[in-house]
Amino acid sequence: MQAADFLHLLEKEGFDFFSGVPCSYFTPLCDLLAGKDSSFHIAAVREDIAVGLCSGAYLTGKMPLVYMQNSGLGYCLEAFASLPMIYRIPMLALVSYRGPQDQGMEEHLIMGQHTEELLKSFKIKYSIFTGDAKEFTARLREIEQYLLKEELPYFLLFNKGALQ
Amino acid sequence: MKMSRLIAIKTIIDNLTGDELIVHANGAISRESFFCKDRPENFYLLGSMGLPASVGLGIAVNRPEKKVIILDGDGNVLMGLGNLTLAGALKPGNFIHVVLDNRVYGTTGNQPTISRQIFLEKVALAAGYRSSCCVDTEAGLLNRFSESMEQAGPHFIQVIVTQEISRTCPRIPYSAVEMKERFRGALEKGYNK
Repeated sequence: MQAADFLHLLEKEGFDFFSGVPCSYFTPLCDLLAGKDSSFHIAAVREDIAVGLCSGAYLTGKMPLVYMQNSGLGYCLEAFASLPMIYRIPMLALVSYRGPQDQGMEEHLIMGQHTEELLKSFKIKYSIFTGDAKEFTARLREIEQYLLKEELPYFLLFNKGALQ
Repeated sequence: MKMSRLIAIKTIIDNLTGDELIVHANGAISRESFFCKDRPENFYLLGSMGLPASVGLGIAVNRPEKKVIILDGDGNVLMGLGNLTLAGALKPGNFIHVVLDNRVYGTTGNQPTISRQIFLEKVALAAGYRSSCCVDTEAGLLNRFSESMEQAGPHFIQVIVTQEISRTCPRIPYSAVEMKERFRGALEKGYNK
């Protein structure tokens, strides 16, 4: 899926605050967000700070989206557990699904093997984003309903190359 | 004359002009502020060590017309030091970062933080805050806080306080969800004014 179409769709569905730490899996999206006003996008210096920024933005009436590598997920599970998950703050989390397929990158091996287990053990709802635009358009509606009804984070795990 | 944290908090609360939004660090800071004066515009963090300034920045950039005050602690600031660089880079003019520095992790038994060894107010200045200071008296705090309310920020006010914890301060009776709804409600009201 093209990053511009992806962003357009998210904005149409009401997401109006973005914050996170980049991953090469979604460089095209980060490029589109760069240079936007800080009331729309903040490039955070750490993943837990991004979760805090998104929580603050929600308190002012925004619908937040946080993005990060799954390596960053390890840094900020506690931030999810102590902010959006107990205050009930809806938040879409885009997380790159790095792992064994990233050959020669041993640093992603362990986190990649356990990413889904981590989410399951925290009872966080998630699905895999493959890059199929049609499938995603349909699913985004369901995700939005979940976010509004449950007021909890929802995770999209990004496969390599899913976003162009 | 040394200042307790409760007196420092009271000095700030007594000098609010109305609908300032306040984000509180977890633990004693939340409880003592609640005890001084609870207001719908107060948001209390139950945990999230290191993140009060992150939540406050997320609010400040989206509500530039309101002052956003962070009542932070030295342990919290040191854990989330990246927040200072972000606040300094974004420069929200309505951001007032107050650090109630008692030099210790108070709720876990007064283990020392490293705030004595470094100069937090210099870190904030180097990070890009428009003003930064360190005060240890009520008069000094009042003076710098009043200035921060009038001039464009971000401002950093390190307040050296004693390790005294006000044992009479009750636990905050609201659930996390209640605090969120109350704060969002207060902001919505502000929007329609």
